[in-house]
Amino acid sequence: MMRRVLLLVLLATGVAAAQRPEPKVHGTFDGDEMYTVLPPDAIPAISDPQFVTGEEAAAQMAADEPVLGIVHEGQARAYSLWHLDAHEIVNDSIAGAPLAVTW
Amino acid sequence: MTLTFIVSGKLWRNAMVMQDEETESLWSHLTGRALDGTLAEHQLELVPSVQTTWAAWVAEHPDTKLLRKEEAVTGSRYAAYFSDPERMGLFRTDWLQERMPGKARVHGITRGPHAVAVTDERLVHGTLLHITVGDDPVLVTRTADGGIRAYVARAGDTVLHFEPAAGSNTATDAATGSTWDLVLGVARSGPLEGTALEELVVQTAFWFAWSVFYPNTQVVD
Repeated sequence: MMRRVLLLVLLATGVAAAQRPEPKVHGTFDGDEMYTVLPPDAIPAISDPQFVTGEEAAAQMAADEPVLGIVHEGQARAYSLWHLDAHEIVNDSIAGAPLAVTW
Repeated sequence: MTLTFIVSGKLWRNAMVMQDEETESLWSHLTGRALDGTLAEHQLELVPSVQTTWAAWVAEHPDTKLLRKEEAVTGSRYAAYFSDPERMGLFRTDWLQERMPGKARVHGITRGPHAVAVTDERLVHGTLLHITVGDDPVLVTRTADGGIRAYVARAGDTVLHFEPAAGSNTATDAATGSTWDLVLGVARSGPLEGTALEELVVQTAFWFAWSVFYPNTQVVD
């Protein structure tokens, strides 16, 4: 029995575009190729997320900094997209539910 | 099974592919569907989220938690990519070039086989946009925190049409006169008090990406 995993989705940006790849085709799915451009885990996901609030949070952020925001089970959380540029995935959980925050 | 994801280093339709550590299956992060591996065809449940600015978010959610930065980050490493209208992913795709520029931001909603993309320009603050997705009436709005939210505009068999009301993030429906909180999608007062609308996932994406994933998408602009 597979426990349901929650996924928070975002923008399809092709953000790995800053790197110039030697693309290899991994396979074709629904008519479109999947390319390998980097080794697995070359962009490190966050698996032990830590959170701050209030003034400590404000000190880390610019007013116009883009964020992904969620309100889930009464809890509000924000993830800086400038921060997520370097990680792309946060393996988080809210109220006991596993949640992958992706960018 | 709870899954833990890493960045696979692969791209599909110019979007990130995740790999789970448990089975090494490969997942599209945009659709939440596994494409390859032992979990192929499994579907993750998508959870609504919004994109906005820190200032707008914290003003409306003062108790918010923030993912702590391990070091200072003062800009996007992809700023040049985001701002260049000619750079659209790494690989050529058959996106719908005739409809709008590839780097236009759209807010996408899917329901079964149906997809709708609402342009960013169409959703100024306070807009209460009524659209149809498949067979369902849907309200799309930009709330005070800057986020785009969408709800099925129906309570039981009653189709709801919303009008602005006094107060931030507040609307009333014409059918019952109930007052609704547009951040939570819940009626705060009136005959439908306590009723929760079904919230739909809104995915903000560049048009060049959305129109490859959903080539049959409708556009609302």
